Parts: sequence; structure tokens; C-alpha cells
Amino acid sequence: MPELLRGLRRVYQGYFLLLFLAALLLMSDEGLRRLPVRRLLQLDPLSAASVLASSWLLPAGLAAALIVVAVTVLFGRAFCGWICPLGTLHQIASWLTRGLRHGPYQKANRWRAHFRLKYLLLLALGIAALAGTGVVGLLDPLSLAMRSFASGLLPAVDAALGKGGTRPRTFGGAWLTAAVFLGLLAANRWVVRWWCRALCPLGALLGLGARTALFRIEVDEERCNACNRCARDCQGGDEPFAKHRVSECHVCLNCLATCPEEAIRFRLFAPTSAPAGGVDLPRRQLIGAALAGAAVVPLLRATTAEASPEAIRPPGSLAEDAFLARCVRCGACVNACPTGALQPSLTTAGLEGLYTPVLVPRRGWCEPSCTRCGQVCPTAAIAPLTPETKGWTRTASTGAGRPVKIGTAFFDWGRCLPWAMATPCVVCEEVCPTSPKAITLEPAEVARADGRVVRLGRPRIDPDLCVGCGLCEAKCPVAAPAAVRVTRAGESRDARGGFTLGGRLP
Amino acid sequence: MSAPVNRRLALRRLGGAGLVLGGSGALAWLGRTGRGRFQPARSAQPVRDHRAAEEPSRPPLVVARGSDPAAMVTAALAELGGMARFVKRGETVLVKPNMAWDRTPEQGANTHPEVVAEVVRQCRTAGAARVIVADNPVHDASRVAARSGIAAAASAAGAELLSAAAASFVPAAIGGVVLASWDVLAVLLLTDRLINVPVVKHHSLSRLTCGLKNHMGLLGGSRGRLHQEIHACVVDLAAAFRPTLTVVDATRVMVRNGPTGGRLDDLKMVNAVAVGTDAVACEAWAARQLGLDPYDVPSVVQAEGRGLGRVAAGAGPVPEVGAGA
Amino acid sequence: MRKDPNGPKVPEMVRGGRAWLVGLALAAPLVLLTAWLVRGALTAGGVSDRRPSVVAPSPTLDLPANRLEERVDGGADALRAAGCRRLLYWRSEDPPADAEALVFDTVAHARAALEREAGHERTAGPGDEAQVSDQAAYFRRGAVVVRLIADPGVTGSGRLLKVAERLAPALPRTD
Repeated sequence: MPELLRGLRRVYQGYFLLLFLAALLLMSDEGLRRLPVRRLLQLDPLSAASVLASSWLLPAGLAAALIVVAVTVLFGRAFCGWICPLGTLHQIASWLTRGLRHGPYQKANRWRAHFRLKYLLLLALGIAALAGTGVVGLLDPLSLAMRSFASGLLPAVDAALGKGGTRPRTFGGAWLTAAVFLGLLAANRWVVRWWCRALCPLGALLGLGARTALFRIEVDEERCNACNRCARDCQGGDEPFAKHRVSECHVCLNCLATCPEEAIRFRLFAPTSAPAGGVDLPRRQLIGAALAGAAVVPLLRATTAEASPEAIRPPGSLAEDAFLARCVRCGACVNACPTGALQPSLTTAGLEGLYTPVLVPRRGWCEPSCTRCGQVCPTAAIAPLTPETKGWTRTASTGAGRPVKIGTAFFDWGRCLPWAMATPCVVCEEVCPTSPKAITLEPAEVARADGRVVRLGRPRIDPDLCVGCGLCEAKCPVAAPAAVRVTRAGESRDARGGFTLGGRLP
Repeated sequence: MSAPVNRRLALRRLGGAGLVLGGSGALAWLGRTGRGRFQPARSAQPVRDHRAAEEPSRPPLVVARGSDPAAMVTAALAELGGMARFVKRGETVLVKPNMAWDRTPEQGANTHPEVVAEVVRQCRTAGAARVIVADNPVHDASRVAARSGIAAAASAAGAELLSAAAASFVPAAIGGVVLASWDVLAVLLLTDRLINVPVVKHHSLSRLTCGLKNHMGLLGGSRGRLHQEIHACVVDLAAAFRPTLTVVDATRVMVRNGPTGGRLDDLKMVNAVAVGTDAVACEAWAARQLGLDPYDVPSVVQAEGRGLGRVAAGAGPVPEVGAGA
Repeated sequence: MRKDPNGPKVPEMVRGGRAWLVGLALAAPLVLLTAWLVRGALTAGGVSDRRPSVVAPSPTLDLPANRLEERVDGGADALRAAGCRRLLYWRSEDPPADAEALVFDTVAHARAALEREAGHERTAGPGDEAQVSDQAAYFRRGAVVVRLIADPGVTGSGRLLKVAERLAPALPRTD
């Protein structure tokens, strides 16, 4: 039976890791029609709790996190040991580096006091969430894994393999994202599953819930011969060979299979008590963490009066304060965006907006009929749109309702070929997708320096028709910077309704 | 041998598990049924018609001439039937001067403080329970209130001064040709009477800024956008706000470089105050003080076209009273 | 290694049939999950496509007050003077009919407009007050007046009412 349980656990881990990778790789339109990608991320109780704390709402779908809560009160941190794809990756890394860890098992794989750091992080981040920000997502394992793959590792693989054609998807800060991820994986060389034990706030949350677990590890003292072999394969660092810490146990059940005396069992109402759970924290550390969490938001908010003009949000996004509260920085939208327009913000959206998605027209444009970002967002920070509600591909000239507007394009006439250099060019007007076009050409005849008279069309923009898709900037032949640039001015999610009278709300 | 299951322990564990699961479920339920922290925009509320009953025996507009602003206000009001015709006992009155510019009274960019003060006094004498003086200025609110002299004069006369810096704005239904709704000072939706107290000035875009444009001071938000269709917008506002009375301060008229002005030689001393129930007539008379033909001012023409008043009542001869030396 | 012949006998609960049961119980969620995913993938559209879909059709025209001319030509000024702020227009094919919703600035103006359009008689119908006949249906909901004019030759007020019901959720809320 212990081998059966351990075997099943490996099947579960492999299954969910595969699901996770499938979700990452299958975010195409066809893939999204067939696979409920959002649902995987919505299992995360930390995301659900963060959204609940910061916006006092729980978008539909996040209730799935209750399943994980139920699993936790039944079996303890079984999510960590059986489901979490990041945990599985770290376990694989630990296994690969097992030869590098020396010394007696009970020393190498002991519980260390600094493992309590994850509870302090949970406290600080939780209070920051209550104050209205979603920065919890920076350390949430599913978000960390998804965005590290989406904007770090997968692009690196694509670059190495030379894939992507003429327009490869590149991501700002990819090196940093990948480096952090790989660095955390590297830590396994010294401590097995160090991320899970020392830093993971979801692990901390589930660890707190595990204190009421109905099923738990029980060591039969009479049968135990203190051989410490259970310490060899323990994933959680919960010291089954000493005083077992329920809130650290990943329920990997390796100890069951390894024990030569069959002294370890996993059973209902086992009397192993929780106070040995390793959450014992000195009060001053708790207060310190709480204060740090409480200070984060006001300090961030005091710095930024208003979001940067370059912080263009995906279409369907909530207003900025609600957006920053709900976005869990998972990077699913960045992964799903077909043109690579969505980028993880490093400085563009401010410190609070770190790793939230921003649209960078030079990297890609927002495809007019595409609504993928809203379809994958687990917290509805980006509301799911349909091509009709997005409104950029209407066939009728007077459509129903106003289209979603993410920004407005502004010409830099000093750089524009027809305006400044007497050279015909109509690219921006050609690619403008709105009907009628937001960019129109004003005919002009210009004399060049060599005396030739050229007929050309000079582009002008109608700010009420422009939706901010960025096609003009993306395709503008002038580069660094382009002769037409989109900023978020006039975005429709701003209650003030933009800068033109025509942009008023009905 | 495993120990037998301790019943008390089992119950405690079940209780704890139930608490965690139940608590999570309850939080989830609250999150599904609550309204959330980031409230959606409030819906626009209608603005009431502040006008008093028509009185055909009284003229739509009266002009007072003299050198004492307060006396002129009193004299003109008397011809119209006194403030008691407009303000009933116990009502709340919002007095809306032009108090938008960091200028002294001598520079003529804001309404003369004594004109405002006299209007306030008359309202209080007529029995108003509250008289509020408010404007959402272009320059810094506290400096404007002080340097214009209106804060001191109005408070001395018994008014409450509402600082736009601390005021709340709510969406109001304008229902106009251009403006459907806009954020306005919340007090506008609470007041019984609205007395518009503009000053006559030249304006580079709208030609004249007087009563119609003065309504912009009740707006919040990014109201600079109204300049994109200034004539239709100010008429929309006038049609929505429908003041009880218009008191036109023409003591000093800014004939150049309006609406901000600054130099004393941009001013012409006209030494008159006009009071009227017909906002269009008042506007037409004000245009004449700048030497403009009222029919050359697009907002005046549009206002008449929308039934807000008669240009002829202000363009032609207007009843006048003297107000002392 | 597993059996210590000198130790007490291990209770047999962990072996045999019990192990199979546990294994089955634990494998079941994965099997069910896989079945659900596969079913979703094969029906291609059932799972990730649940959008809050438009219950009522979007109007073909949505005109603000300053563009009423595009639909009502000469009557635009009168409509504006009567307080109309917005006009929505749908074309129904089954039954063939034109549907217009006029949004007024106040309920009183809407009532007056309904009087002008439909006279004094009222019949049962949708909204706050209605007048329904074979060829035309008028009703008012809040400050919105809806007029449904069937194409010549189309009869049956019942069919017109069906159009009205379909449009009702798409009418702007004026309260």
C-alpha cells in the first residue's frame, strides 16, 4: 500500500505538470476553445484569497479553490505534494541533485528555522492585499511558474531553436524572469524543495490549513528503530523521524514506503498534534511582517499620482485601481497574446505594477478580433470580451455601443515620412483596422530639395475613432521611436471619459 | 499497534476542519454576492428647475446704475419684486459667482465681492435657511477665495463658503445636445434656488463670458473638453441648470484679454448691475457692454433657439434705475 | 526487510482488497478529470466559451441627440425639442418590422411622446404603458419609448410582441 500511494502520487504530479505545460503551450484560439486554461489557475486558494481581500469580490471560477481547501482540511498539504506543478519541478530538481547533498539524512533534510519565513511573507502579502493590491501574485507559485515560462523560459527556448519567423515574440526582462526561476530551482542543490519550504506563501497558507487536517502522518514509536531512513526522501522537511510538523508535510508519503519497520502510517484522526507544526514565530517578527505589509501600499500609492502614459492595459481591463487589486501577475495573458504585444511590466506600470501586463506596440499589436487575454485571465482583471463587445471589427458603420478603447495614437510629425521628409508613405492608414478608419490622409503636394514635386497623403488621426490597437506604431517603418505612438490617453476604462468631448460616456 | 481513535480528538479535528472549510465557503459566498470595493460609477441624477413662477407684470431684466455695487443690486431687485419673490422662507440657495481666478477685485476677473455679498444678504433677509457660495475655480481654490475678496465678503454677509477642493462631485443628467451627463458639485442637486452671479468679460473662444459660461464653474471632471464645442455646451448647461435669477456684475467690464485678464487697462468702468429672470436677455445685454451685437455671439443665438429666453429683451431698451450717486 | 519475524504481527488492514479500494478511490478523480477535459475538447466550445452573451440583439443604429437626422430626417429637431436624447434602431426579420427606441431626458417627456405617437388608448403590453395593434406596437418603459412598426402585409400583434420581448433587455435603463 505505501508503494501504491507513492506511485499514485507520482502519477498525480506528472498529470498536473503535463496539464500545466499543456495549458502554457495550447493558448491558441483553438486550444482555448478546447481546454479550460483558466480553470487550472483558478484552483489556487492564494489567488482567490488575495482577490477577495483586495477587491471584496470573488469572480466566478475562483470558487474552484474551495476544492483545494477541502483537500487540505482532509489530507493536509496534499496540493503541494500531489498537484502543484512548481512543486513537481522543484522535486525533480532535488532528485537530480541528490548526489550533491552529503551527510546523514537527518541533518541534510532537517527542518530549519528559516523555513518560517514563508509565514511572515504570507502575513505581509496578505495585509498588502487587504490594503488593495495584488502583489501576492509575485510569490504565488502558479503565477510564478506561469509567468516564468511565458515570458522567460519558453521565449528562450524559441530563441535558441530559432523559431518565431520574422517576428519572434520577445519579452522585456526575460533574462531576469528566467534567472530568478532557475535560481530558485538551483537552491534545491542545498535544500530539498527550498522554495516550497522557505518561501512559498501558498505553502504557508495551506500549511496553516493543514493544522486541522483529518488525515495525517503518524509514527508508531514502538516500531520505530530510529534508523532515520525516512529523512532520506522526505519532501517537506517535516522531520517524521523527530517531532513531525504537520504544517510542513507535503503528504508525499515517501516516508511510508521507505520505513523498513512500517512504523509510519497516514491515517484518519492520527493523534499527531499541530503545535509541533513549525509555525511558532516570535511576536516581534509577526508584527514586523504585518507592518511591512501595511506600509507597502501607501508607500507605493504616494509615489505614483497617475499611471504612466505607456502603461496601456489589455482590452477589457478594469479601471487601474481595481486592476492592480485583481491582477495576480500570473502572465497567462502575456502567454496568450498572439503578437507578443502584452509584456510583463518591469518599470512601465510602476513598482506596484511589476509583472502586470502592459501593451507595447513596438513589440506587437492588439489583433482586432482577438480576445484571448480575457479568456485566460483567472481573476477577471481582464474581463472576457467577445469580438462584438470589443467592437474593433464591426461591419456596420454605426455600431452598437462604443468599442473598447485602450489608448490613442499620436503622430510625431517631425519623424513622419510624408510630413517631415516629403516621402510618400501610407502604412499607418493602410493597417488601421477601424471602420471608418481613424487615420485619414490629407492630400498635399510637396516640393523636395531636388526640385521634384511629390504628391502624398499626410496622415491625421481622429481621436474618437482610434481604439489604440497599436497597429500603426507596430508597422510604422520609422523606428526608435516610431513616427506614430500610442499612449493610454482616452482609454475607455477611465471613468473620466478621455480627452475629447466625443469620447464622453453616453 | 496503532492507538485507537480518540473520540474527543476526532471531534476536535472535525470541528477545526469544518471551521476552515465553512469559513472559506462563507468568504467565497460573500465574495460572490457582494458589491466589491471599487464601486461602479453612480448613475446621473436630474437637476431641478430652479426658476420661480413667471410674473408678466415684472420686466425680464432691469439695469441699475451707480457707484455702490450693493446699492445697485438692491435697486434692481426692488424693480423685480424683491428677493422675496424668488427665495421663500427656509429654502437653500446656491449663489454661484465667478470666483475662478487668482485675481484681486480691482482686476475684474471675478465677480465684485460686494455684489456677491449683497445677493447673500438679500437671500438671508428673504428668509433663506442656508445660503451657499460656491465655485469650482480654475486656479487654486483657497487662494482664489481669499484674493478675490469674495470669501470674506460673503462670510460677513452670512453665507457658507464651499471650497471646491473639499467638495464632492456627482454625475448629473444634462440631457443636452452635446452633453448627456457630467460631474457637478453635489450641492447643486441639493439646493432649492440657484442664483447665477457672473461678471462680464471678453473671451477668446466664446467672444463673451457671462452667465451661460459661468455655469461651467459648477462642473468637475475634465471640463476643459467643453471648449471643443463651447457654444452648444454652455447652452446645454444653462438649459439643464435653469437658475432662479441672473445678477450680472458690470461694474468693471473686461473688454480685452479675457477671461483671465490682469492689466487694469483691459477694463472699462461701466458701473452697472443687471438683474433678470431671462438668462438670454441678460446675456444679450452683457454682450452690448462689450460692444458686441448679441446676434454675433453664437451661444446667445443658440440659447434663444432652444427656448431659454429672448435676445430682444436685452438687446433693445432695458428698464433702468439709478442707485444713488 | 519488510517483515520482522520478531516483532508483533502487523494488522492486515493495509494489504489486499483495502489497498485496491484506496488505489481506485485516488485514481478516480484523475479519471473523471480526464474524461471532463476530453469531453470539453471534443465538443470544442462548451467549456471555455461561456461568455455573458448578448441576450438581445445589438441595435443597428445607436444615435446620440445631435445625429438623430440620420434616422428621422425632418423630425429630428422636434424630437430633440421634445427631450429625446438618443435613438436606437433594430431591424427585425421575423416578423419583418422596424423597431425604434427613443430615450428621453425625463419620464414626463417620454409620456408626452407616447401620447403624441399612440394617442390616448392603452392596451395590455410590455413596459409601464403600451398600445398594441396588429400593425404597430408602442410602449414606454421608464423614459424610453419604443415603437415597433411591422412591414405592410404583416399581421398579428402577437408576433410584434415577441419582438418587443426580445428587445426589452437591450433597452437602456433610465432609472
